[in-house]
Amino acid sequence: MVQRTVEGDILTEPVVIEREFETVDMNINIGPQHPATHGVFRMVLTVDGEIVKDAVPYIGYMHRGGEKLSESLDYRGALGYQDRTDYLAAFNSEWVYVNAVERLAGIEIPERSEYVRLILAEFNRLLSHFMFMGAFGTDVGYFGTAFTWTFKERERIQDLFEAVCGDRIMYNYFRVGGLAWDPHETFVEDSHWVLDQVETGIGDVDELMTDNEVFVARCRDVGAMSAEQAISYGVTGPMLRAAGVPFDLRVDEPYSIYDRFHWEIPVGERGDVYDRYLVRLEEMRQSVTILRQALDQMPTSGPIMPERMPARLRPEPGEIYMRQENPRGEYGIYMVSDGTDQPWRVKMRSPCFHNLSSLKPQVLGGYLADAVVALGSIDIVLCEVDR
Amino acid sequence: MTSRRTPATTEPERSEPAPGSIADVYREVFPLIQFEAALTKGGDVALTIPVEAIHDVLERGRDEARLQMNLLRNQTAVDWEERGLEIVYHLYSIPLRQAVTIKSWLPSDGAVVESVTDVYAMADWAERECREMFGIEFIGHPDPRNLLLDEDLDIHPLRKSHPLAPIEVEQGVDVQYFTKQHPPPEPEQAAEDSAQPAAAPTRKRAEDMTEEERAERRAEQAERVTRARELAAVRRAERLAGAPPAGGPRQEGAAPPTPAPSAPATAEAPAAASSPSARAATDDRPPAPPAPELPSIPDAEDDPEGRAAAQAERVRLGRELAAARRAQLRGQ
Repeated sequence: MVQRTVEGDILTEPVVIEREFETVDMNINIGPQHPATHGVFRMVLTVDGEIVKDAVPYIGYMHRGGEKLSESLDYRGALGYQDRTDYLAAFNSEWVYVNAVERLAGIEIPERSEYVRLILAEFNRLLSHFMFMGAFGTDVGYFGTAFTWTFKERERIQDLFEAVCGDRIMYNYFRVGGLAWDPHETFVEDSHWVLDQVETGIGDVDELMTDNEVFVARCRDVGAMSAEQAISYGVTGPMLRAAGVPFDLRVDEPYSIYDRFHWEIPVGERGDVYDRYLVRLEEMRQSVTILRQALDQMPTSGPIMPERMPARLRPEPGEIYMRQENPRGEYGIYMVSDGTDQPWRVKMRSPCFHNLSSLKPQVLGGYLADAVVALGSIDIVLCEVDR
Repeated sequence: MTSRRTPATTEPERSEPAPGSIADVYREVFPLIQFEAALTKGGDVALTIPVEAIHDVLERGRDEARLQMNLLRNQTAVDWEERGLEIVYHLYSIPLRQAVTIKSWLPSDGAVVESVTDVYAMADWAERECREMFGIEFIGHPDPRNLLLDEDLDIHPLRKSHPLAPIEVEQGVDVQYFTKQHPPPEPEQAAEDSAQPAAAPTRKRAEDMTEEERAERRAEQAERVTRARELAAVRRAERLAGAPPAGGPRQEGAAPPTPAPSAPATAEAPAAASSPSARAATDDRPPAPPAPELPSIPDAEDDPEGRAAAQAERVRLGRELAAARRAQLRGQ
C-alpha cells in the first residue's frame, strides 16, 4: 500500500493509491556448515520478508551410533564415548554413566571420590556456561570481546582439569567405583584459586552483557516459551527454569551428595532468551557457592576406589534410568543388563536433543535474525544431539 | 568411608513395589487395565501394560490430578530378539515429584504403536528416532521421516540383528544397506543392456543410476581395489627380496621419504631398506648396504632368555643398519 499526498490547488485531500503486491515465500537454508549453528546443524527456514513462517531442522550429521557401540563393549570400555557426546560437559556425562553402572551393579564408592566427582562436575558446569556466554555473545554481536573474556576463565578451569587428569577436553577420568587416580596434592588450593578468579570473571561478564542496551534489545522477548509448552517439548535445564519452572534434578530427585549443600535455584519469568542468559549467569554463581562448600567439606585423604572390585563386571539382570542435571539439562542413561559383561541396551537421553526439538515454536513468527539468537540460546552441542 | 547408596540396589529384580506406591494409583485410575508392576534398580516403578492402552494411559496420566505426569523425559525401545521389542516411556511429574516407567511388549515384525505426539510434543523427535532405529511404526505420527540416519536409509541399526559394520566386513557379509530391492532385470532388458556400447562417454552420477548399475560400479571398484592391492603386495615382496622395483617410471615421481635419523629397529628395518635403493634409481649415490639377516624371536613361554637376546640382537642390527644408511646418505 502506497500513500501519497498531493498538495496544491487541484487536490486538497490526500489521495490514497492502493496496490496489491504478490509476495512469494522464500526458503533459506542455514547450515550444515555455518558459524551460527554451533556445529553441524541445518535448518531450512521459510520466510515471508523477514518473518519466519516455517522452520525445518535437520540433524544427524554427527550420528556415530554411540549407543550401539556402547552395547558392543563391556561396562567399563564404553566410558570414553561419554566424553564424546557432550564434549563441553564431559565430566557430567561420565558421571551419569558411572553412576548408572554402579547402581546397576550395586557398587558403593568412597566418599572422597564422590566429592572429587562433584567438584569436577560443578567446575565443568562453570566451564560449559562460560562457553555459552562467549558463543552467545558472538551470536548477538560481541565479536571477540565476550569470547576472549570468557575463554580466559575457561582456560583456568581447563588448566585445573589438565592438572587433575592430564587432558583438557576428553577426560576419561571417572571409573566405575571411583576415580582413575588421586587428584594432585594441591588440588584444593588450586581449586580455591581458580574459584577466586572465576568469580571475578563472572562479574566481568555480568558487567559486559547484562545491562547492555543492544544486548537486551536483541534478547528480550525473543524465543519465548510458556512453561507448559516447554514441558511438553521435554525441555529441561536452564531453558525450562527460564520459563519459570524450578525443576532441577539436583534438588527434585537428589543424587550423589547434593543434599549436603545449600544453594538456590534461579528461575526466570518470561522464558525468553534473555531469561535463559540470566538463569545461566546466576547458576554460575550458585555453582561457585556449591564448590566452596564442597571444597571445605571434602576429606583430605582416604581411598578413591572400593577395596574390592570385581575384575569383570556382571551386574544382575535389571534396568536403570539414571538421570542427572547436566549444564544443558537432564542427561539420562537408560541401561539394561542381561547378566553378561556387556550392557544389553544403553540409551543416552540427551538434553540438547529435546531442547533443540523446541526450536520451531520459538522461531515461528519472529524475525530471521532472531532465529539465530534463539538457536544460540539453546546452547546446543551437536555431538550430544546426534550421539 | 561411608556409603551414599540408597538400599534400592539390594532389591531383587521384578519385585513388587511397596503398597501405596504409584503403581496402586495407576491401578485405581485405570481399573480395566492390567498393570504388571516391578521395581527397577534405580528405585523407579516400572509398569508393563498392553500396547493398546499406551495412548490412553499416557494421556489420562498427564491430566489426572493424582498423577500429573506432565514430562515425558525419555522414550526408547529395547530389542529382546525372540521375545520381541519392548517400548519404554519414562514419565515424570514435576508438580508431584514422582517418576514412573511405562513399558509394553511388541512383536519383532510389524511392531505398531499409537503415536503420543498429540499428548507430548517431545514425542515427535523421540518417535522418529525410535522408528528409524528399531523399525516400530507409530500410527498418527505427523512427520515419520528419518531423523538421525540418512533420509534414504531403511535400516534399523539398534536391532540386535544388525551387526556393527566392521564385523560385517570381517565376516564377508554382503552389506545391503538399501532395502529398496529392485527385481532382477528381465531377460530382454538384460539383452538390450549388453547390446549397448560398454563404455559410456560421461560418468553417471550415483543418484541417477539404477540399482544394477550401482552394483556394477561397486563390483568394478572392488575389483580395482583388489588388483591394486595385489600389485602392491607384489611390489612389496620384490622390494623385500632386494630386486629392482618393477615399473621403474613409478619411482621417479614419488621418491620415498628419507629415513628418520632414529634407528628404525627390528621389523621396520627390512621395509625401510627399499628407500635408499629407490633413491638410487634417480640419484647417482652408491647403493645401500644390504639388510642383515634378522634372528627370529622365540615365544616368551618357550624361551624367555632367548627371546630377550633375540630382541636385543634385532635392535642392535637395526641400529647398525640405520647408522650405515645415514652414512650412505651423507655421501660418505
